[in-house]
Amino acid sequence: MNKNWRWLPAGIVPVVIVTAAVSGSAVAEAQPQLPEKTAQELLEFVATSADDAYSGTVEQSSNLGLPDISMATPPGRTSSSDPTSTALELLTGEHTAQVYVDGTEKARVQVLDQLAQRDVVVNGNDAWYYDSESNEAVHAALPDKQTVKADLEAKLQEKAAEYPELQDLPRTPAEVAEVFLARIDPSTEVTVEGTSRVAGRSAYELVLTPEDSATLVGSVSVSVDSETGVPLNVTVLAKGQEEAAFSAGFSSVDFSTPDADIFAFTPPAGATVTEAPTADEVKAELEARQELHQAPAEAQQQPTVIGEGWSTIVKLPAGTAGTLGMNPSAGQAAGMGEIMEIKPGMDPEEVAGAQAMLEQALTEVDGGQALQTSLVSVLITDDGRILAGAVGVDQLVAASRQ
Amino acid sequence: MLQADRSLGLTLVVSEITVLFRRLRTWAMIGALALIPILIAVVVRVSSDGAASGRGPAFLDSITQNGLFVSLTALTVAIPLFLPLTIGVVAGDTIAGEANLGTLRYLLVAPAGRVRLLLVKYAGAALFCFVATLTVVVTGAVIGALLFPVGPVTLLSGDTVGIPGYFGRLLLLALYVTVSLMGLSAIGLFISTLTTIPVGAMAATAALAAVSQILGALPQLEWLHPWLFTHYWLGFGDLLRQPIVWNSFADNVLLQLGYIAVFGALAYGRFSTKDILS
Repeated sequence: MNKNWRWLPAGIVPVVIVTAAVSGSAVAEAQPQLPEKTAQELLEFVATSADDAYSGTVEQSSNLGLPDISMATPPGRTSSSDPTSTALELLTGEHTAQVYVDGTEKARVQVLDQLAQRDVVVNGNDAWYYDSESNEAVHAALPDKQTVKADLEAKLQEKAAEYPELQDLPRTPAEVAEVFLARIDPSTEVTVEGTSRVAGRSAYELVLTPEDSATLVGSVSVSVDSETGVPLNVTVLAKGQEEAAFSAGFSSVDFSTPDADIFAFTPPAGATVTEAPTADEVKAELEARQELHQAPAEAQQQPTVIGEGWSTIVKLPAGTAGTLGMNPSAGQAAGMGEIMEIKPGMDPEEVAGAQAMLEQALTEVDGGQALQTSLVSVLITDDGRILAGAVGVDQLVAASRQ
Repeated sequence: MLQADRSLGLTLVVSEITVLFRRLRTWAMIGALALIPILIAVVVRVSSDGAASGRGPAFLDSITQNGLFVSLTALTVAIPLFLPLTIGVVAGDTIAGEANLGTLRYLLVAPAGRVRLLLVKYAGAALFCFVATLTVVVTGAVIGALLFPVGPVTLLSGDTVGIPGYFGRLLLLALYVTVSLMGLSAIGLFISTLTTIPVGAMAATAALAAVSQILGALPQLEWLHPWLFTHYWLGFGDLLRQPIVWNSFADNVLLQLGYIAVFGALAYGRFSTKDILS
């Protein structure tokens, strides 16, 4: 008796699974039909969405050409908790976050790591940051929005009396969109390029293309939800690259108001709670440090901006590293200790690991050390100045000589 | 007729489970799994200086503040190696063990049918997955409560749940890990139909779990990762967030169902066409 037909399920099942997986993604990519909108109409639409409430899962991935440090840490652990590595860690690799937004007053972002989580909660005038791994919570008192707004209005009224042309400041979303387009026009082309599907919703594709040959940015595209105007996805392409250098977008989104409990945060018992300095305190602290390091003339201490538009270069003066609380070594090559903030009590192994990582990312160039990514370059000159911009390293080197 | 079929199926499952849990080997493996949380708790208790924050397996530094975290640390340690090892032994033994003992012939002489025998064997292995996971979780909670203070548990999101809520989550967690191991059990069942040497099937199943985890750690194979049955093994942390993130639970169920379908079909193909000689 021929029993071979009994192997049939073993052949069919994998085919069915693969077909289902492939056709599932094909359906997701189908382009929806939507009424046409001009760039200005779309921008207005985005501006009206600020008060919306929604929640969802955001997937972020970057491909900046930096070494992926998430692989260098053991599984189940994120990298060290010092700010520099945290920033670098968020810039490399992939992350998933849960996002909850209720208008402009309440928001919560949960960065989901494996067996760990980082939370940022904003509720009215309170902001919290909580890291499950170190069990540390940071609280910051935000300035009262109403007071700030009232202050700003008062100042505007005062100025408006002096300068009549300020009286026609943009007020409505439509005016904001118009002003934005007028401002951005010479350096950037803003277009609506068809539609797409993001997180199962139909969206318009707003594309900003720099008309500037110097910048590394190829284009920025924003997917705008066709019903609410909420941006669902942002993708940044570097020049000459097929794959997105940076992309962050919803993989699922729900436009119902999130539960109010989500925005109520109380630090857990046993957590280390620190109070973040207010804006005034930071200013005072920086001034005190500048005096301590016998900073040169005031004018030199200010960051300078070279160029404009997409190829803007920001130049921080010599000794910046020192004023940021690190060991200044005037005239010496900027060592790793200056770039990274080394706090007492930090794990020496972690410090060494992070330094090795930074050293791996930096390359030696004429007159300093540079960090080149596909979107942004940073140059640390031998005399301790820092230059950064969305341009190639050679342009930073040229700017450092001016 | 159908009624009789059903009651026969049930009898077979009950008898399979009784045989499985009467074996000394099964209890030895459960005992070994129970030792993991006990070992962790005792070591942390004895070394009073406390682990430096951020070292060792996840949740280790929380144990001294709340004994209930022992379950979680033990689970993180057990998932990559010890659980797959014991599942490999049980699943690899299902068919090959009977063939090796010469009892497979007699099982099939009874009006059991080969398909039903496969299903019964798989049900036994699945139950063992749940018991094994629950052993680690419950022993961890008990030993933690004995050696350390116990209180409301801080979740990954910084929110706090009371002890009843935490036990609800622990049960979900045990369910998650059980589901995670179902794919591996199906693979073990298939390998077990290939041979009459149970040790070979056990070793091959456990080795596959290791291979899959190694592949999952290689960044060059990123496209492959969502297809590996070990991909969501450590995703149980999503149940410890507030609100609970269900994505990994759903994805995991789908993935494991895929593995069950594929390797179930393979096991059927092999077992129903095989000449049973012993």
